[in-house]
Formats: sequence, structure tokens, C-alpha cells
Amino acid sequence: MRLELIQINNFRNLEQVTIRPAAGINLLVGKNAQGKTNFLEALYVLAHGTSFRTVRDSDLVCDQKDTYEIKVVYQKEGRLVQSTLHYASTKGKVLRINNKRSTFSHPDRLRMVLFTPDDLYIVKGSPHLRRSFLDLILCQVSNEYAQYLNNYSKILKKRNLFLKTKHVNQEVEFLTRDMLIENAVPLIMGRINLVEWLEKEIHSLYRKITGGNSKIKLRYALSFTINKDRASRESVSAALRQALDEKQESEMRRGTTLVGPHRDDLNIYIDDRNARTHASQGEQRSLAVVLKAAEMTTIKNIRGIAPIFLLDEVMAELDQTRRTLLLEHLSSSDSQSFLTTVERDVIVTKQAGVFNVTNGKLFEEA
Amino acid sequence: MRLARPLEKLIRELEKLPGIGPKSAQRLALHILRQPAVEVRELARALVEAREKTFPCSRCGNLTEIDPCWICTDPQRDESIICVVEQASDVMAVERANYQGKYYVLNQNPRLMDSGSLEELNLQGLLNFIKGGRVQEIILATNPTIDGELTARYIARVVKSFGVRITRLAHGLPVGGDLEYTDELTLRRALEGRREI
Repeated sequence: MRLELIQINNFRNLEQVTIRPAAGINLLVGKNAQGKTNFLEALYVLAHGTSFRTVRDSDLVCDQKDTYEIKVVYQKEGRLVQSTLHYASTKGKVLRINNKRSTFSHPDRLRMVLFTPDDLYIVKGSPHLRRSFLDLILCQVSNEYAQYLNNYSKILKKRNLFLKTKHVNQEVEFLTRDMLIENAVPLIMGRINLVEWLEKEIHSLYRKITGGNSKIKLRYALSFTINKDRASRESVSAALRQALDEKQESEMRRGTTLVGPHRDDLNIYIDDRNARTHASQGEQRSLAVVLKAAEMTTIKNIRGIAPIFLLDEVMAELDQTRRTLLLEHLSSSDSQSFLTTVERDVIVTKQAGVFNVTNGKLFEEA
Repeated sequence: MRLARPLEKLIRELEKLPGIGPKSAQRLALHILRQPAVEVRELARALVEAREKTFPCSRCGNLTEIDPCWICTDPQRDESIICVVEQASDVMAVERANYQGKYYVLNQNPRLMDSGSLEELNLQGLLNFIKGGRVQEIILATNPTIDGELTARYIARVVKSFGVRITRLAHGLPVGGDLEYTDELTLRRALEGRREI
């Protein structure tokens, strides 16, 4: 997937932007508060329909304007696709793909992977961030997974409500538990599979991007014990059922479901030490970048199409050698990427598009 | 702006209806005022009559003006099949599909689902049907939502001991739909439920 033309109108401080990005790396260079992240945000909103910074569409419109429009032309499997998102404060968002009204689940839609400095918390933050890291990837590659996830959270909410009210009929309790398990198993299996895919990538990627030879391991940590070495649908389902049986009393007492995919975690090990507690700040930063790079390759491997990589302020996260190595990795991969950076001097690569961002305007560097 | 009192009252009453906002209410009210008095009286009478003369059938729970309702007493309809639905509006939908059996309408209180007290679900009428001995199959046509699924499973458990056949509506593709744009879960269910031709 490759963007060929980007036009943005009245999005945040980007009043009018038209650029033709390079096929490989694209750098957005500029001082703070000039509109670099806004540019990435516009692309992200076009692909996902929602922003990573705000939930209100009205925040995204230029001051004193009431519509914005993001339009791109991209290449997908040798075809040109045009995608336009138009927002009007009175009418809301309308997405058009090839001039036809469309939805964000269209098979030809843009796919993107975004890195922001907040992604550091995937490594050192609480487990729910790691779970949603996995869930977001899986939802992108499988609508079926998204459905199971949606159902699971609904049943979980209901079951917790039942556990709190306490006087719930035993029959109903059994039924909700059955439904909970039915929806939990595909989630767990999906995540275990994904972690295996990611691990295959991450090991070599970490060496490539950091130049070191630390060993990275990823393990999906279940919130309950399972006796078999290899998890299968049947063994996971049986183990979860048993765990729920064992926890029944404390669940009743505490009024909440204590085991299941909503309590699982992803353990990241660097040289056999848990990265959350033992890795240095620098290692955690590199790991966050590498996890995102692994997400890129994994989506490409599963879907057969390379997404577009958006990296916000990634350069500030890494030291000089790692910057160079990351850029080498990006230029050698066949996916298009957009990076924002404050310092121009950090990066010199061939075939990179360089855009200076000043006060909401983009100028291509010759 | 101050409106004529009766008009204002009419608008306020219409606004209470579901799906009617202030603008639609105003438009409807003004439209009613333009109608001949006979028609408006007809409308008013229809409203009151519908409210006063219909009630849930004592056997199946469907809305009716005679008890038992015309579906329950129709000798042409197949007594051996009962279709269990959540609301009377679902009966209308299934009727359109030319279903020829009988119904049982749960008329359940949505709050029932959140308190987990499914045992308060009124199933006595359904059990009476089954005890009558003619029923061979029960179709659980609750909505394909979490609540609907839970209700269906609960009923299936209660009814199981009577030895009647219990079926659930199939999940599948919409007729005239496009295979390419069908979501994976529906498609997978449709694959599971495929049939020989």
C-alpha cells in the first residue's frame, strides 16, 4: 500500500496541504507546534475514522471553519484507489472510496500502523495496554475477532453485574459462564497465535534496529493455569472452566470475574528478564518501536499487504546509532513510512521525501 | 414565541412519542390542524380504541382484541410448532415470512435481563402449550444479541425435560446480499449451517 497524493483542507492547523510523498521514507521536519503530528493524525483519521488524540470531531476542524476534508490517492495491489473523508459540523463524517460512499470496514480501505511516544507504555505500563495492543492488531486483521471481543465484553459486564447482585439463579449463572467461555476461547487462541507471529519477527528486528544482540522473548501469560504444553481450543476451554469453578467463591465475594482474557497479560522478556521491571528506559523505548515494527510485518504477513507506517517523534526516543539503524530498516522494507522529527540533521537517506513543516504549511525540500 | 395553548399541548404530546423530535412534532401538529375535523376525530378515536381494545392474548401473549387471539384459535395453523419471540412486533416480522405455526410472545421486561432473574420470565403459558401434548417443535426466535441468546438458552433448558424438539433460528446471509461484503462471523455461521442442494 502506497500513498501517491495527499490533500488536506482545514484539518487542525493544516489549512491547505497538497503533497506527493516518496515511496519509501517521508520525513516531516519542523519545530514544535507547527503541524507535524496533525499531518499524521489526518492520515490516521482517514484510515480509522477516529483520532488517537481526541474523540470529538469538532476538535479536528480548523479554527473558524466548519468542514474539513482529507483526500488521498493510493496504490493497492497495482490499482489506484481514491479515498476521501469529508466532515461537516452539520452532517458528520462521510467516507468515500473511489467516489462511492463507503464505511471504514471496506476491504479497500487504508491500513496504517501508528507509533506515538505514548506507546512506551506498552512495555512499561499496566497489562490492559498490552492487551489492547494485541486486540487492536487482531481487530485489524479479523472482523471475526472484533465480534468475539465485543461479545465477550458484553457478557463479562453482564456476568459481573450478576455476581454483584448475588441472588442470581444458579441456572442463569451457568449459562452466562458457558457463553463467557465460548467467546473467551477464540480471543485467547487468537492472541496466542499473534504473539507467536510477533515473536518470530521481533527477535531479528530488535537486533536489526538496536545493533545489539539481546534475546527478546514474548509470552502470552494466561490468568489461569493450563496443564498442556500446547494450548488448543479444547484445553483452553477446559482449563478456563476449571479455573472459573475454583474461583467461584471469591468471585461471588468480590463481585467480579477473576479469570479470563480480560485478566491476561503479554510478558516481554529481554535476555530472560521481564522488560517491564528490568529493562532500562532506553531498552524499553527501543522495544516499543520494535513492537510496532513487528506489528507492521505481522499485518503484512497475515493480510499480504504492507500497511503504511506512521511514526510520531520516534527519533527523540532513540540514540544516534539506533536512529540510523531504524532508518536503514525502514528504507529496506517495502512499506511507506512517515516520520516526524524536530532535528533535520539526524537523517540523511537516499530516496527519502523531506518536507519542512512551518505553521501548518508543508514545503518539499528539493 | 408563544403558541396557541392547544397547539402547544398537541406538540408536547407528540414529542413524547419515540422517534419524534421537536421539529417533527411541530410538523405533525400543524399537519393535523390542516386536516378536516372528521379525519382528526377519526385519528383520535383510532388512538383511544387501539389502546383500550387491545391486550396480550392470555395463551400466547400476542396483541389481540379477542381472547384467545385469532392465531391461537385458527384451525388452519399448525399446532405442533411454536415460535418463541421476544416482542409482539417480532410476530409481525415472522408473519411476513409466511410462517404457519403458532406463537409464544415473551413480552419480557428488559430490566429482567440486567438483574439476572431470568426465572421471572413468564414461561407458564409456553409450558401449558407443551403439556397440551400437541407440540412437537419449539423454534427459539429471540434476537441474535447477547440477551436474546441467553434467553434462548434458558428456555431451552427449562423445556428440555419435556422431550420436544428445540431449534434456534439459523444465522446466515441476507437474500440479495453480496458475499464479498459479508462480515466473517455471519459468513462462518452461514458456512456451518450450509445445506445440500
